[in-house]
Amino acid sequence: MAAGLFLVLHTFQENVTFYFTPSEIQTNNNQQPMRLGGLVLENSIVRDPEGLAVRFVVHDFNCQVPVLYKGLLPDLFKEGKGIVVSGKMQNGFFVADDVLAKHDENYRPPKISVDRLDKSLAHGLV
Amino acid sequence: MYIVEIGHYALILGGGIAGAQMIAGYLYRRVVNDSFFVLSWAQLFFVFSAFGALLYAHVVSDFSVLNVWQHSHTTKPLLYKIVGVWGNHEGSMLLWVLWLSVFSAALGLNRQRLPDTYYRLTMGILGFLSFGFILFVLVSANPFERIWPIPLNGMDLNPLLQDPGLSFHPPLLYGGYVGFAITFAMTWAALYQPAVGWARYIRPWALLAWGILTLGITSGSWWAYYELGWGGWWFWDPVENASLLPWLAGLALIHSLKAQETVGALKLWSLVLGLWAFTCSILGAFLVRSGVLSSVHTFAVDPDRGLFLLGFMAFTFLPPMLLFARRAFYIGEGTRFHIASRESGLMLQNIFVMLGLFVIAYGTLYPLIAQGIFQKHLTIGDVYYRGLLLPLLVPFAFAMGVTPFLMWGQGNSQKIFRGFFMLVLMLGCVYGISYCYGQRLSVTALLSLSAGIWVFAASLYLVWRQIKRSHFFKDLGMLLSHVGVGVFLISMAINTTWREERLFTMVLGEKIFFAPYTIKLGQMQRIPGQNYISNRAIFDIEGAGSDVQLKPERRFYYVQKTAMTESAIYTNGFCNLYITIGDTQNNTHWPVRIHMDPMAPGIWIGGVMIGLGALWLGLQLLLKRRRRNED
Repeated sequence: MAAGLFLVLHTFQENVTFYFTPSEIQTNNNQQPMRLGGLVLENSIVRDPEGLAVRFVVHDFNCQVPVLYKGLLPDLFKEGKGIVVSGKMQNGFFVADDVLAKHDENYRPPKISVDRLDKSLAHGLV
Repeated sequence: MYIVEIGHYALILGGGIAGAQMIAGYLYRRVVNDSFFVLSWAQLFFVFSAFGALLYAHVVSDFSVLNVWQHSHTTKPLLYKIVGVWGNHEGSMLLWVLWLSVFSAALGLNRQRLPDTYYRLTMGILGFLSFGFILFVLVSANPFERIWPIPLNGMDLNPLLQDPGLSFHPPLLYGGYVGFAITFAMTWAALYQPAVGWARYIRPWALLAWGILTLGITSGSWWAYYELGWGGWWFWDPVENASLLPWLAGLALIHSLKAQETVGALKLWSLVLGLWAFTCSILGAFLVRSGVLSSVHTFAVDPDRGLFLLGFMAFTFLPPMLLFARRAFYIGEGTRFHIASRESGLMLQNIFVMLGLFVIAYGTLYPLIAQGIFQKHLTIGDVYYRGLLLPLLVPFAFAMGVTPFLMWGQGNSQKIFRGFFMLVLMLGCVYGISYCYGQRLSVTALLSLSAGIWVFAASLYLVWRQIKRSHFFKDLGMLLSHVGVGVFLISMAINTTWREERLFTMVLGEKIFFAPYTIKLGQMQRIPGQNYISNRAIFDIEGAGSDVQLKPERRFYYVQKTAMTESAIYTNGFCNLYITIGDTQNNTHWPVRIHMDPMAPGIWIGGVMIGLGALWLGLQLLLKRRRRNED
């Protein structure tokens, strides 16, 4: 039984992927696979005209992270809406293997306080 | 137009009646059976009316109703105005309550002629559950809320949901979840005042609930496959995992009840699982609606809803477990059994199933705990689930193949050893045959494929044996489900091992070779739909017999301003060719993703077989005329 429990926890540890906001990822020098969540910056999507590469920026009203992705963007992916990408940080870019759009229309990244967002709204930033 | 208000009051009345039923159950010594019949059917009438009122509001696009405004639009096709009623939190909770009323009324008929006290207690507990859920809907998820001023139009339903899958996946899934409320109520009543043969009464309802749930999960998987455009059929998404928990508990329950009914074994298993299946259902509901999970499925973020459901869950889980703790001593243990008997095999199955349940629950809930307590955000990869569940699957599959050939109450170790020998032989054959075809199977592939073939072959042999004994029609449900498991496991193993995906850009006229098909991008069209505009690609497929064309689309929905993919799938029954397209930058180069999915149809055919088999047996047991007690 103990062996079984150890097996579960060990496999678990090996397969945990941490999730960060753009602000948190600035101080993170990890080369591990991780997830990044935030909003897609308006007018930041740039597509390779002849290939599959796509570039866009993920932000949380505080910091911005450029993301590179090769492939078809999922449904519900939209500028100004919530997004979660999984991949690794490489040379200042987040190279994504996977892009997951969030279902909720009113997505807010986890750490943003409602106050902050309201202040931004007041200043006409959103 | 006061239909909406009538619906609202009908729901309140329905709740009141449920409360009355609950009180009647409490006063079970002084209330006659007929009262419960009348109350349950009255509740059904009123809840059905309430549902009808909401349906009406959606169909006529009454935007003075908040629920309609938030999730509908005049240009939305009629089908989705109808089935979109349950495509949101409030509407789906009303569907949940409707199912509960349907099941209560069905039990109210008392076709099984339950002993009086047992019947009354069960109905009383069902009344309590209905009362609780209707209260939840009225207080925190009221679909009949009005808004003022009345908007001219609504916000439209998420385009992903505007698909035929919405017509059957949620109703089936919820039918399954809510069906376990009956087993819950009957188990609780059995703990309080056991009726002789209680397992015999509960088993058909457990089979019905589990069968419907299986169909619900299978349809959800198939829907995600063709709708989401990612080409996968299971993502270990927290909400998917949440549906597996009651499914696993239900799986163990139906077999434990059979053991209890036949030889009185696995008694405590049956009692605990009878309770747990429903608590797992409610846990699933809590996870989906509380907003603590991020997933394609989540309805909006609202911690209040989560708290209510968590409280309700504690309220429905703790008292029966306390009751169980108190009463288990008097209920007594089940009969003892030989280690090589059928009961033993079933107990082994239960253990594996519970371990699987723990693994999935841990992987799903840990991120929540980490977030709540440690403020760490993390997700669990699918490698975790697959890595832990496969080692459980293999012995489970072995047991599943051997157990039906073991006897009740007697040991037969010889058969087990023979079975083990055959399994090893089969492993060798599978590896050998694939070696001859140039395939070097990994351990994972070998084990999962062998497990599937083992179960499939053993089940077919069981079918043969039952035909020889003239038991085929009597056991049709069980046989169908067991063979279905084999079909599913084989298909899953083959698909996981040999599926291929390719990603590239194509221009008009370009050809790609993806064995055994040649795929050419023939045309691009721009096509307007009722509430969207679409870029449609027409691919000509050669190598598929007669001329086949696949027409994937990239749609843009006007109201919500979102883009969406419509995949195109060609199947020959055994293999799927799956194509999706992306957005173009310059109108000449189109991103295309192509999958080859061997044995994908088998995955859902297997699932449907399992569900239908259980449904068939459940109905067979419920509807048969009362005969002398048989096997």
